[in-house]
Amino acid sequence: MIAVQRFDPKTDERPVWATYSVNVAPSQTVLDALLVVAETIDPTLAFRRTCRSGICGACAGTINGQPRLFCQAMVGGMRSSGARPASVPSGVEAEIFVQPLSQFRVLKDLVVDMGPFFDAFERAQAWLVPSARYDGLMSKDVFRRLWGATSCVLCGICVGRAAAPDLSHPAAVARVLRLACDPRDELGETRLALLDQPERYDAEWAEALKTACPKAVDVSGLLPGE
Amino acid sequence: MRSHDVLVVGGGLAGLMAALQLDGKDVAVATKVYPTQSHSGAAQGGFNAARAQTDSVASHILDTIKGSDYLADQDAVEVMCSEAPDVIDELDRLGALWSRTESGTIAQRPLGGSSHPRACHSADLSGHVVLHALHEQTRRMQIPFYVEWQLLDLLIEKGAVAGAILWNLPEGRLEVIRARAVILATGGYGRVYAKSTNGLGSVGDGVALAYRAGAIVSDLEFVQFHPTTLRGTNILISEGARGEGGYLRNAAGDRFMSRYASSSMELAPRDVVSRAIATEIREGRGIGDGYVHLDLTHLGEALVEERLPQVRELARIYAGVDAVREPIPIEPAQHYSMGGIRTDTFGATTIPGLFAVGECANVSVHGANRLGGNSLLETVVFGRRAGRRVAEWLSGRGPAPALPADGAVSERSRRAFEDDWSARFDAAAPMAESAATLTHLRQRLTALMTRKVGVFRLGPELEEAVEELRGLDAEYRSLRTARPQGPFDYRLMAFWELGLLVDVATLVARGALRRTESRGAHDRPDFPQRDDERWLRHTFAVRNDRGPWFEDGEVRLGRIAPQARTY
Repeated sequence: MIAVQRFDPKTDERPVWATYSVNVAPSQTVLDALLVVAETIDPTLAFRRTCRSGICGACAGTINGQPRLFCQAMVGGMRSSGARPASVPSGVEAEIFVQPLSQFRVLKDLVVDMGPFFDAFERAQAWLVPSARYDGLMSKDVFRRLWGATSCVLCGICVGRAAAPDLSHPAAVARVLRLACDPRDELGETRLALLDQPERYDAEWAEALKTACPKAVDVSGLLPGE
Repeated sequence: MRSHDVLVVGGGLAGLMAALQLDGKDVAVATKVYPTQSHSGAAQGGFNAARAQTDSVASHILDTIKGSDYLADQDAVEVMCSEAPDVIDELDRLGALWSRTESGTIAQRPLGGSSHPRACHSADLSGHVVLHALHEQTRRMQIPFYVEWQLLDLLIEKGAVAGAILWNLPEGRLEVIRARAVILATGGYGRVYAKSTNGLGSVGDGVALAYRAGAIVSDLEFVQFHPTTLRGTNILISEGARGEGGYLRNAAGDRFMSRYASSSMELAPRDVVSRAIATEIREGRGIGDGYVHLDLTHLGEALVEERLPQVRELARIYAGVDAVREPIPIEPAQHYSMGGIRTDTFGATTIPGLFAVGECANVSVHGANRLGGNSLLETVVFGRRAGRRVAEWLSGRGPAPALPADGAVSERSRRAFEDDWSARFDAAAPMAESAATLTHLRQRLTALMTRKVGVFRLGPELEEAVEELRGLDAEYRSLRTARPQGPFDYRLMAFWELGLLVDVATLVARGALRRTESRGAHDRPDFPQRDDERWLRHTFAVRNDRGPWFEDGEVRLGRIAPQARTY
């Protein structure tokens, strides 16, 4: 049994829970289970999905109280770690409880408004400004430092888990830190001025981000003052 | 009614690259998923470019044409390979983080069918890294996006494109965007197959809608099956794994590629390797219920971690295998759509003002079989060329596109579309029942394609497939669904998509039945030889009243004459 927190802005004042009996193998993903629900039981269940393999970042949500990518969560593993979230009302019985990503406004069912998250990247001007001084060469060392931050899939799972008061979203901070160290970027270290307290982003913060992130984004080589 | 000079449909590599050329112009991008969720991001292996001292553009051209089994248009291949070294530098300047050599230059790895290590890569996250870099640049340029808008139809006025009708998924309503030029960058049609590496969005929407609008589509029967996809889930395991030295082994532990491609072994092109695996399985040398092993255990943990981190992670999560210590169970599955909307080397289709770039296009640089590393390259080279061509138009250089007529014509088109669209809804349609029916139809279609229009294609089975597709089409047309249900109605999208899949599958199957030869990825055991006399021709299809009409299209040959193709 899988329980899904649903919300239809047209008819619901607050979220409601629905449970579904789906026949999926333990080695299948929670995304597979949701697809079975949508394809055979209730086609109105709304959730974003694209790649099925953890690279597009579309299917983030909360499973048994923990934020995860649905496509990276195996049904078997989720069943055995079946912590029932406190917010589930009594009477809703299931092995797996699926909710939208917390920290975001729900638009429908598991679909949330990612607008504020993406806006944080705009505020951070998180784009490379090509530098005329770049000569086309980059050492392997620089590559390795930058590499740790490139696996971010913009899923939003880090929000609320690795605090980042400056730009409110840790993924945007990670991108600023990466750009500040990128030899191809015109702005370089001046980007750190966008952060009120760059010193906040220390090894401990980097570790917290890496732990929270489903793609293990690692900015430990990019920290100011380290 | 919204309007822009240029509407790009699709936010993957080809679409973003095109949009970036239109900085300062009135351009917008409509995309059915957030741009970084586009399927380009799942590409792993790399971008081919002849950059090394020992390599040459001529060699890249030769490899590509041989790889295509001589069906590629040689002028298009020459354009792509010639522009490749420069486009890699451009992507570098725009922020793509390429893997590096000891001396700090851009690293390159071997991929199948290439005579040199030629694929510039970002470890095995090449598509993801470049997609995010280009997306950042479109944000820097402040290009407007219509996110989660699905293309439903192209507006055609006086024979030229005049915009598009789209479904605004977040708001749950029809939208019209008028435009002087529309650039389709909607990706492939892999989801017509049950077993595919493709993301769930690769349903051939651009191809089907351009075909419905009257554009020529070509070579759709050429479908690439990737040799190494995880057994069961068909999640892609990069060709980079073999490029870095991985082996393929059958149940006996033999490196069976020695019997199929004795000099290239595992790095033969994909059509050759996929056929070899399918043959091993069919002849009883597969493992278990039908798979083989991709063995990386001799490469060492350090190399795998540095160059194939995603491969290791995917195998761990989805197959429960640590690739450093155990072989990965793999099987071939649909991966890439060689065919698409027919274009010239600037992406122009046969409809004035309508362009197509990337996987949805057939320019044709891949012919009957694409080489690893050439699809990502195609997206950025032809995305750039189409974007620049349209920018030139808008700047008054070159022939200007016909200005669409006044909005009244678009308004009539919109109403006509809305009538058709509304006729498919029925307030009384039971939701769950119609979903189950729809899912069942879709599963029948995709299973049929995998079974009868797959790696091997026999005439009688193709005839059955065409017949069954005719039945599926009729069943689909008779289906009614509940009215749109407001925001994020994915049910409605699934209903809509099936109609696209039926159209594209029909074009694939009928093209495959018609082509009585074996060439590249199109293998007809009943016609095992390549037949240049009859079939060194493209397959052109256009829509008429009774469905597709097929004709031969000329292959633009050049200096390279067709030869026997061995590896």
